[in-house]
Amino acid sequence: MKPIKKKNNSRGQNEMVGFGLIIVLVAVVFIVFLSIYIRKPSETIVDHEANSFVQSLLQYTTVCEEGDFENLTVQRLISHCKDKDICYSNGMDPCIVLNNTIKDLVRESWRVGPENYIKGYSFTINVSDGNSNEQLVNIKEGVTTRNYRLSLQDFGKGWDYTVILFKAYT
Amino acid sequence: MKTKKQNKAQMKIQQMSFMIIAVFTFFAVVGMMVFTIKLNSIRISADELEAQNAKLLASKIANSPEFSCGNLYGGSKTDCVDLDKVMALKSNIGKYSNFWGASNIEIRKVYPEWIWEDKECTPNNYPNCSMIHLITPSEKGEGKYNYVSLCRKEIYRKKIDGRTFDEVVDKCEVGQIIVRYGGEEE
Repeated sequence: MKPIKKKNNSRGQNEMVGFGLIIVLVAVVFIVFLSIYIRKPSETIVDHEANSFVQSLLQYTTVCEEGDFENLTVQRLISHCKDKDICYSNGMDPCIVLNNTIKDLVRESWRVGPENYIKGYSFTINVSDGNSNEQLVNIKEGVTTRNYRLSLQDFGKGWDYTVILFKAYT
Repeated sequence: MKTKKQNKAQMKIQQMSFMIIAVFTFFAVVGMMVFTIKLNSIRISADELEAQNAKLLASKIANSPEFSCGNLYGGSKTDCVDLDKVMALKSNIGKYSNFWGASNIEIRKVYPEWIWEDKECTPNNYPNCSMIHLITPSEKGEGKYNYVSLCRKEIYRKKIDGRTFDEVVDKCEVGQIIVRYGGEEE
């Protein structure tokens, strides 16, 4: 009688070990899936609204005048700021005009707050001439989150190019 | 002995069936969870796409020949509305009332901020106004909006050597085009 009991015990133990292995295997697979899902990169949407906004902003007529008494658009003001020119009629620094104009324009257009859909934003303008990079504008407001609406626009000729990056955090 | 063996076999079958049911239930629950999460993310993506399409539709109207700046303001521009053209269109809107399939098209100045009460543009107060309603003054119906550049020609008076010259210059501001649908049914 004794050997039969032992045999039964060992078979039961084997079954338990097998069951345990299956559970461990399933748990490992589940954890792998979960980690892949969690590590998924943050959701970034290249947004048509943000793109249209940046396009409109570039066409905005600023208070900075050029030699022919014509007021400069934001797009042309970026070049003036990069070249360290001054505004013709009032002698203002185009970089100050550029920063103030964009700061006001973005603040009026994208209202941020904890109760609003837009929680924060960042707006940067970087220029490069092939050898060096310079940041002309860096505006941040509100909080940053993992999800954001994005507008990335670049323009220029040859080595000279300008990159505009606008992120509206939701 | 035979009955004992049969009982044992029955027990084994029961054990196996319980195990199969347990494993099946486990995977079913996990599958349901994954399915729910996926379905939710698909729903969010669908909402996002719908919103993007609505904005594209508003842009499409802004870029139509009746509204767009064309090459009048220093080259071809996208999302640019010629306000002078829109004011002319407003005077003849009767011919275009069903042209875009919208119940109303509204253009609103965003920046520079209009600090006074909303003022509808008329030939008398233009450009010192904040909005233009085309087709109908009603704001009923679902509105889809997008940002646009609002450009117009302006007379700039300059003095050179004591003499006054009038020069036509471009002036662009930032605004929104709001397209409304279904206002009449409500």
